[in-house]
Parts: sequence; C-alpha cells; structure tokens
Amino acid sequence: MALPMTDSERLQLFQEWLGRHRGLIFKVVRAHARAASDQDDLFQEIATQLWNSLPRYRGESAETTWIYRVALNTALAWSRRAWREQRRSEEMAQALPALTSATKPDPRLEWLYEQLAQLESVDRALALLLLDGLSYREMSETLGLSESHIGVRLHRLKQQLSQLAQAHFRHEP
Amino acid sequence: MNLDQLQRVWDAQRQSPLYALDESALLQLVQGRNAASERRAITRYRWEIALGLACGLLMLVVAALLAFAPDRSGWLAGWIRTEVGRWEVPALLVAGAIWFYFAAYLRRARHTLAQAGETFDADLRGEIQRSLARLEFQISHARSVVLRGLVPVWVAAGLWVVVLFRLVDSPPAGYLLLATLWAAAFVQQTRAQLEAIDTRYAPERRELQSLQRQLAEESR
Repeated sequence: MALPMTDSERLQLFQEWLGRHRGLIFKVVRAHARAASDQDDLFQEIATQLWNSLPRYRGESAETTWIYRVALNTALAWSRRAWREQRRSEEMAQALPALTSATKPDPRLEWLYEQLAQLESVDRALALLLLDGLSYREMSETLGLSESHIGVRLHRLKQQLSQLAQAHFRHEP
Repeated sequence: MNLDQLQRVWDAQRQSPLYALDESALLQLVQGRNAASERRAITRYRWEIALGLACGLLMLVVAALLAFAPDRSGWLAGWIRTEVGRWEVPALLVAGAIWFYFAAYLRRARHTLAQAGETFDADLRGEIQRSLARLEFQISHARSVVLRGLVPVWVAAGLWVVVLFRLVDSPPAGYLLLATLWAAAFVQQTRAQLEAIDTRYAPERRELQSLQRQLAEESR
C-alpha cells in the first residue's frame, strides 16, 4: 500500500531525494547516454519518473534501492526508445565542443563509463550497483533477479572488467 | 589496474555539475541549426504554395473548358464519356478557390514563421529564444493545419476526382476504391502532422529549453 502524502510533502520529499541522490542518478545517466544532450534528457526523464512514482513508494525497501529501481527502469526504457532520436543525438554530439566537462575528467573514469555503456542492459545495471556498493539482497530487490543468479553474473562481470582494465591500463603503476 | 583500484576511481566521482557551456561554440551550433531549419521550412512552404497555385489553376482551366467547350471538341473528346451536367463546373470552381485559399494560408504561415524570430538579440540567448519562438509557431501550425489546411484541400481534391470519375463514367467500384484510398490518405497525413510534433518539434524544444536552463544556471 502506498504512503499517503500531501502535495507539499511530495514536493519536499522529491527535492530532498533529488538533492541527496543526484550523484546516483548521474551515474545511471552517464552509463546509459553518451552525448551531453542525451544525458540531460535522460536525467530529466528520471526526475520526472521519480516525481510520478513517489506516491507509490511503500517504504518496504531502502530509498536508495527504490531510486535505483526507478532510475534503471527509466534508463532502460529510454535506451530502447533512443534509437528514434539517434540522428539528432549524433548531430548534437558532433557539436559537443559547446558542452564541455565542468571539471577535468579522469580518463580512468571515462574509460569505466565507456565499458559500462557497452555492456548488455542487465549487466550494466548490475555493474553500476556493484560499484555503488549495494548488497546482493539490494540488487535482487532493485532488479528482480534471484541472489544466486546475481552472484553468477557478477562473478563473470568482475572477471570481465578486471581483464579489460588490466589490458587497458597495463602500463600504469 | 585491478577492480579495487577501479572502485576507488568510481568512488572519487564528485557530484558537481557535469558540463560547462562554451557559449561561442554553442552560438554557432544554434545559429547553424536555426538557419538549416528555416531553409527547410521555407523550401517546404514554397513547394506547397506552388502546388496550391498549380492545382487551383488547373481546376479553373478545366472548369473553363467544360463551360465554354461543352461540344467536346479537341482533346476533351478523347476522355469525356458523359454529358457535362450542371454541377461539374461549379464544383471545379469551388475546388480551384479552395486550392488558392490553401496557397494563401501557407503564404501567411510562411510570413508568420519569418516574423516569429525577428525580435530577438543576435547573441546565444537570443538565438535560443528565436529557435523556441519558431518551434512554438511550427507546433501550433502543425496542429491547426489539419483543420484549416488539410481538410479543405481534401475536399478540393475530392471534388476534382469525383468530377473526373463522373466525366469518364467510372463504375461504382471506382468510387468505392477512391473513398477508401481518400480516407486512408487523410488519416495518414493527419497522423504524420501530429507525429511531427512528438518526434521532431517537441524533442527539439526540450533540448533548447534545457540549454536555456543551463545558461541561466551558469550565469547565476
């Protein structure tokens, strides 16, 4: 059963959560969208979905888990739809000098996001949750997969990421 | 580098804004897109206006030939198989008038579109506002053109084909086929107009509004 809340409570909770979990949402966004305009679009979509879903939050799971679930589901739906607007995104991506990183990007982090973007959608979500330190139980709640299945996939994923990192950064200390 | 080191890189992410705007590069981008979008819209309007005028003229010429050469002399004799009745000539005159109205309607729309972006500054914010003003117009035009443009044109084209079918003495099946095709084409055209709002104009507007917001945040 959903928690009853007034409009002002909803707005307050939304603002609190968006402020507190903005980093989490950015990570999901960056793992799913490469062009700056796409990232912006996806961020807005997740925020909208979060607002719409708030009345359905039942308090049964931790807020981080719940926000991850909303963000990942929205990102997945967005990715499926994104091909329709791919041409526009490519057009904008060519003009990317207009949108530059606000802070000096860490090339290792950029590389990591590139690897995440290339993963299949469930693996991508799992890798995000793994890097953000969620437990198997929280991952299971977020993605609706069994913990044993998650264990198997994560084992393979860790090996894959390790090998890729070692191959790519082999000259680094 | 191993997984633990990757984890440290991941944990070091800052929750700071992801992007900063290079205004001069963005200005060039928005100007370029504005110009391309305007060129496309103006070219489309030109073709549609020319089509309206040509069809209107064709209706009038055929109406004049039917009115003043009812003895089926010359080229008319080849394809008219029935007597010209009372309603064909007026129907063609009405159809011609509708086509001319359509051309005038689009000419006015073209003029309004050109005016929509005239009052803004030549800087980045002005260019974004200009694009938004044009998009707003294109969205409202895409909504209104169905009733004010497509419906009249479909009536005009329908009148023309019905007169043509009647003069060549088409069998009833021909009319049935025509009615089906006509309805399908109308639904398809209407849908295309309305879909353009969701698939072209609205995403573009969202993108520009997001740039506008980022600019406002940067200048704070």
